[in-house]
Amino acid sequence: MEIVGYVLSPVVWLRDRFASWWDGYLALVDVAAENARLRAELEQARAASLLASEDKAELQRLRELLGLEALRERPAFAARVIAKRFGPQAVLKTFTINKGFLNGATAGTPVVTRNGVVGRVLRAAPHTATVLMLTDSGFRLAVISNESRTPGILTGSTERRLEVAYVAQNARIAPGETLITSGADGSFPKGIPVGVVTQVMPGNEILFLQVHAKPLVDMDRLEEVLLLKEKGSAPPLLPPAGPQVRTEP
Amino acid sequence: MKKLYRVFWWFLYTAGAVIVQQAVPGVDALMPGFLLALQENRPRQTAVLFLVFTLVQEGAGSLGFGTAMLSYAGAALLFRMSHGFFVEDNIVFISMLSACLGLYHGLLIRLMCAIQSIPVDFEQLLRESLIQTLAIPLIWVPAYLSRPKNAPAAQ
Repeated sequence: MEIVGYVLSPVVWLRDRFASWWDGYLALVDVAAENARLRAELEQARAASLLASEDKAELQRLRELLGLEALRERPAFAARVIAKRFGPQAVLKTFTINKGFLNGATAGTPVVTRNGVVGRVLRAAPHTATVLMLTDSGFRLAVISNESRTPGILTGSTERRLEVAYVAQNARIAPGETLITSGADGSFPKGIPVGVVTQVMPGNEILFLQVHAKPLVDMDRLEEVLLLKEKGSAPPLLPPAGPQVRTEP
Repeated sequence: MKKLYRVFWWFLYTAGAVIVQQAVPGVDALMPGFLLALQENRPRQTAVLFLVFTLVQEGAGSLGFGTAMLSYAGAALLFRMSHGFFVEDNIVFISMLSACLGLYHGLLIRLMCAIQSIPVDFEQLLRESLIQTLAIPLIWVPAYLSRPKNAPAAQ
C-alpha cells in the first residue's frame, strides 16, 4: 500500500498541475468574448446573490442543526483521495488516501466530508490508508433518524443504496427523514448526517421494518475527506461553538 | 549497462501499471508484465517480480493475504501448461491466455470471497473479469514492443 502511495502521490500532483495549466490556457483562448458574456452575467448574478445570501444563511443553520458540531468537538485533519478500488482484489468498496497511521489515520478512524459520513479507515500503512466506504455491504453504523428519533443499524449493500436494519415495526420513520450518527457505536460522534430515508416497507421478518436510504455524500466524486481523531488527541479543526470570549490586551 | 536498463524498465513498467490501476478500478495491470517475464524465461527475474507484484497487489487489495499469490501462481501454471503448444510471443497466444486468466480471476475472487464471507457483486465481478481479459493484450503489446530485446536465457 505504501509503494502505491509513493507512486500515486506525484501522479495526482502532476494531474492537478496539468489541469490547472490547461484551465488557464483555455481561459485565455476566448477571453474577449468571455468578458462580454461575464458582464451580462454579472448583472444577473447581482440579483441572484440577494437570494443566495438567504440560502447561505439557511444552509448554515441546517449544517448547525445536522450536527457538524462534531468537527468542533473532535480534532480532524484532511486527506486526499489518491485511488479508488485499487487493483484486482479491491472487492470491497474502498478508496486509498494519502494519510497513514503516522498521521493519525488508524484502523476505525471515522472519515467524513462537510456533507456527511463517508466511511472508516479499514487498514493503514505509514503514509497511506484504505477507507471502507459507507456503501459497502460490510459497513455497519449506529444511526438515528432526526425527526422520529428511530434508531437502527445502517449497512451498505451490493446495490446502490443503504439499508437500515433492526427498525421496529411500530417505528414512525418516514421517507425524507435524515439519518444521523447516534454515537452508540463509540467510534463516530453523535449527530453527523449519513443519509436520507428513501423507502419504508414492512420487512420480511415480523419484528422489523425494511428501510432503504441513500447516502448524502456523492461517493463517486470524492476528492478530499476529513478524518476525525480521538477526542483530546489534538486541537479541534473548528473553534468551539457558542459565544466567543475575547480577552482584552 | 544493458542489465541496468532492463531493471530500470521494470521500475518504469511497475509505475505505469500502478497508474493504470488507479485509472481503471479492478484491473491487474501488472499481470501482462508478469507474462512478459515468464516469456523471457529468467527464473530469478520472474521470482523477484512475483514477489514485488504480489506485495503490491496484496498490500493495496482488500482481501485476505494469498489472493494475489494464487493469481500469479495460477498465471505461471497456465503459461507453463500452454506454452509448449503455441509460439509464446504471439498476440494470439496472449489473447487466449488472457481469456483463461479473466475466467480464473473471476473464479478466484468468487472463491476467496466465499471463504472470507464477503458478499460478491456478481455484475461488477463479471465486468471486471471481462476488462481484465481485454486489458492483458492491450498492455502486453506496448510492453513487449518497448522491452529491450535480448536472447532468452537458456532453459
